[in-house]
Amino acid sequence: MKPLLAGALVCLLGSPLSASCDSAAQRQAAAPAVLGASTSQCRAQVDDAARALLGRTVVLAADAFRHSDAVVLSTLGQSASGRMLAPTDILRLELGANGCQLRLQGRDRTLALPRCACRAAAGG
Amino acid sequence: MAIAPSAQFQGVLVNAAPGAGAVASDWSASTCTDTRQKNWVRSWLNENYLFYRDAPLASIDPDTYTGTVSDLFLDYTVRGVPAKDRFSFVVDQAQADAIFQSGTATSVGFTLQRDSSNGGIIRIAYVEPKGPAAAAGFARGMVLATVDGVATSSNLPAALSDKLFNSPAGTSSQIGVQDTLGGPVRTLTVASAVFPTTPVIVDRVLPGTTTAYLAYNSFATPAGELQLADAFTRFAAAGVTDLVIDLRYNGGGFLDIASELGYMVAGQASSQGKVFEALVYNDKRSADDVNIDFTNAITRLFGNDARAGEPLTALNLRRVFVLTSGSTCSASESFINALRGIDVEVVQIGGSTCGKPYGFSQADNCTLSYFGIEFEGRNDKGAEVPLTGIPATCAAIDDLDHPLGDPAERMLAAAIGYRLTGSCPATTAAAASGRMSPLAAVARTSPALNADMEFMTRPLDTIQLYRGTR
Repeated sequence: MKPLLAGALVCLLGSPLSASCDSAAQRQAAAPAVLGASTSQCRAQVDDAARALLGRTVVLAADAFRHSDAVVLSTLGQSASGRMLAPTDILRLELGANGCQLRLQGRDRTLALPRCACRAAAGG
Repeated sequence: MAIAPSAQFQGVLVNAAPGAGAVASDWSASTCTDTRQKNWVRSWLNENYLFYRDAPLASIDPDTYTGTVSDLFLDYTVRGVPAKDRFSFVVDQAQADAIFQSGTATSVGFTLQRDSSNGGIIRIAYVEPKGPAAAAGFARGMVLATVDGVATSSNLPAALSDKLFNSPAGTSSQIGVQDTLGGPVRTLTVASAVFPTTPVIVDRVLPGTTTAYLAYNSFATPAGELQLADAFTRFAAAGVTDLVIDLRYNGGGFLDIASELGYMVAGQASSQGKVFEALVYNDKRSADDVNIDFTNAITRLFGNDARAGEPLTALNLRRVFVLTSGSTCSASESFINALRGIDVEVVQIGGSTCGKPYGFSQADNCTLSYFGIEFEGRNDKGAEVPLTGIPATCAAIDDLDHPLGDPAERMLAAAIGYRLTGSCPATTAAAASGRMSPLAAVARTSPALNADMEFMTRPLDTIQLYRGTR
């Protein structure tokens, strides 16, 4: 079995959470995406997923992921400098084989967003 | 006197989850005793603080110090080296770790300013185009007469400031405004919200000229990277030969975006191989020194991947006008200093900038986050922003009776006049009026609050408020 296919199988069968998948195969298939509509249920799910990925509550604007697949994150501490170096955390919205998913850039872990409708991002 | 390494006193996290460290139970209690924390503060400063040679690290003994660990940090820094450090601070890690979407704010969506031309009344300096205040009908120049029935024309109580600028989304306020000085008061209702900020609030070519005007309020917004790029493309297409960049409300942000703006002003010939800003750490950390170059293309740093690599349009100017005030801080000062470092003439109109040539990062230990100055910025000639701020070429004060970008607005008019005559207008002002951030009311009653820092970007105001009341 090819490694990527094996990874996908682990993703489908091995995850205790239906909304969680650590598969590099799935990430490879995913494309940058934006939200087609931003319902309250979708926003709540994005908030939950972001909190799960980062370990802390994230304040997102109502139009987050509506125009871009990326949301750049800052902390109050980082912004305090005034001379800010490049951000380290970016949330990415992706359209994977199973629909909408959220990922922290540079990490494998993705969280599915079944309550959100995604479409491929322009230029992505 | 030898000071032990900070690693010897560093608290040990017992919670390995992402984002841990904000609560005491995340840390091993035996590694976070009062004495250990105080020793860690001294050792960390000894290793990382830019002014460790000046700080009273030897004369204040952490083992016998009777104040709090936060007080000790401040005694070593802002109180220990007052001539150089007005900026270091410490807050709870939970506060410092609060995560938000870059380029968003949680507030009613306007910025206030004390109008020194009119007895110090409080007026609206600008309104965020996508914020709730814009939708509710607020506009630049309005007098803030009342908030929830309390008169505020000359004083905004801290509790009301908090309500407008530091309260959860959905918090509603009734605000009485005067459209004109002395005019009737009418009441507008506005609720705070999380909204995307618009860093470039005005960009236009002044009618009948080849002079462009750009009002740019924050380097901290990722969307600003694209807004700036698009504005300069339009300016170049219009044949712009002179440029006025309005940074009077710009408290800083990402240096990489500032370096892009520098490139778009100066162009390749002037900036190639030159340093936008060198970040210089203390002599124990010289390995961390880094040069930030002028950036000539859209980056991937801010999530704008679809346009990453797109060349930026440069105007190749040898002179630029920059409008400044005491709120013009940090990365904004880097921008001015960097251009002067490559011999681009910067004609500065307004007031002196805030005077912050430094930067820092966050160091966590035992639920506290420490922000001690770690580096200073220098331009290609090795010069840094003076602590007293960069003085204006021509003094002028903010003119709240005219919109931003109106050629009759006092600061812009002074720039236009200088362009025509080569000298400052006859009518000058002693100093630009101070922008009234939401913390101004607190600042007046809290000497501990750093007056310069209140001019920084919105999230910092929250931290400073916390510091001021600690």
